[in-house]
Amino acid sequence: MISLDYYDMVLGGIFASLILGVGVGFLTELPMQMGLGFGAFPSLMMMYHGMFTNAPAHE
Amino acid sequence: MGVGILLIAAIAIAGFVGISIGGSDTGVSFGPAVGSNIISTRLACLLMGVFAILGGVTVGPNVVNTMSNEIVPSSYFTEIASVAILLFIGISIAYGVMMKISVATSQIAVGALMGMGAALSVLNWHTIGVIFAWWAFSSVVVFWISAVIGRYFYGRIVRTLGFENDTRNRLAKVVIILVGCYVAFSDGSSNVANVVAPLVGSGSISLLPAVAFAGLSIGGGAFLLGSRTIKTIGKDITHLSLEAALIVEVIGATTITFLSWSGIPASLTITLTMCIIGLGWGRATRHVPLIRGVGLEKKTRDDMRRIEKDRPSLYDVGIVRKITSIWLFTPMAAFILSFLFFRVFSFFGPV
Repeated sequence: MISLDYYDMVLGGIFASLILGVGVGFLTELPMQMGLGFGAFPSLMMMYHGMFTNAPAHE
Repeated sequence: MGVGILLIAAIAIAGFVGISIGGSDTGVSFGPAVGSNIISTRLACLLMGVFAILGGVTVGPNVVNTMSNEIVPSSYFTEIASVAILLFIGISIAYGVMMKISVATSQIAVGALMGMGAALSVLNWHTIGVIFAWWAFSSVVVFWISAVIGRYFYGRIVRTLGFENDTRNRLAKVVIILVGCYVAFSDGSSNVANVVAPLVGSGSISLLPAVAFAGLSIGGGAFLLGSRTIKTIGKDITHLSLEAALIVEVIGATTITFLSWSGIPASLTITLTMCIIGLGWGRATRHVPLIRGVGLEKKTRDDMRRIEKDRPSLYDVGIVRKITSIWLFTPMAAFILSFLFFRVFSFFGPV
């Protein structure tokens, strides 16, 4: 059985956010870099959470 | 005649910048190949030179265009301005070589150009927005890919490569050398702009000879200094296992080549470090369910800490925090210094 833990969700969340950003860049009138920025920002927050708030070594 | 002397000074400083880059980045590209005794230091320096020139000449001009015209209009690159920008870059690299660290040259160069543009009120905010968006996006992508590999695929890749056997097969050796060449190529493609963009902007040299000069100086740096720095700089890479080093280098070189091709100045050092952090993080997270799986969750927190101490450190929050703050600090410092310089000098007449 596949069980997802916290880190799977962090990685999944980053991926979803990046794809969303690229999608916004491609599909809307907004310039690509805006889409990339919008996608990167929530990803960076999730990275921060996974890297510092819940760093693996201190689990 | 004054202009002539300034131009010679600018070219000399540009040459110095190129030589320093070539010298300091040879270890990053060929540390794994030399460290595992697959090729000699001399051959590594030769390959570094050749592939850095190739990358610089083929992909490099895209970044030179961005940095010589799109951040600050090229008409503002007087000879004095070029010398000043090159000095900022040169001093920061020299500092890095002295401290035995590789500095984020492209970030510093962009920071210095931004300072100049802001001081003279000619900064192209659109380009800055594009560059920053790509920096943020590529950092996340690189971290994500490395983390996914570290967490889910690392063991499988290690088994496939089969480096743990003492009798390494020929294919593995070829892969290690090719990856080194690829890193050297990407390094050349992103760094020629740091060497000559101000000179191209000021119109002192036209694009192609400039790029050739930059490529040659980086290659020359690899020959002159590579053998000395190969064992001191790029330790982050050489301390990794061979498999990890290769994974990190392939991801890093691909990212830098792509960004350079898109005309975005980006630092190989930062990208590689991001890969190392991502891979380490991914591999470290992998241990958590395993520990739980064998019932260690019943032990106290102190027991857990002791267990963690025994394993090689894959991910250290303190170090990661330090590295990320240095990244935020360096371009900002370059920006502020350059801003002050150009503000002060603009009082004395056109810079």
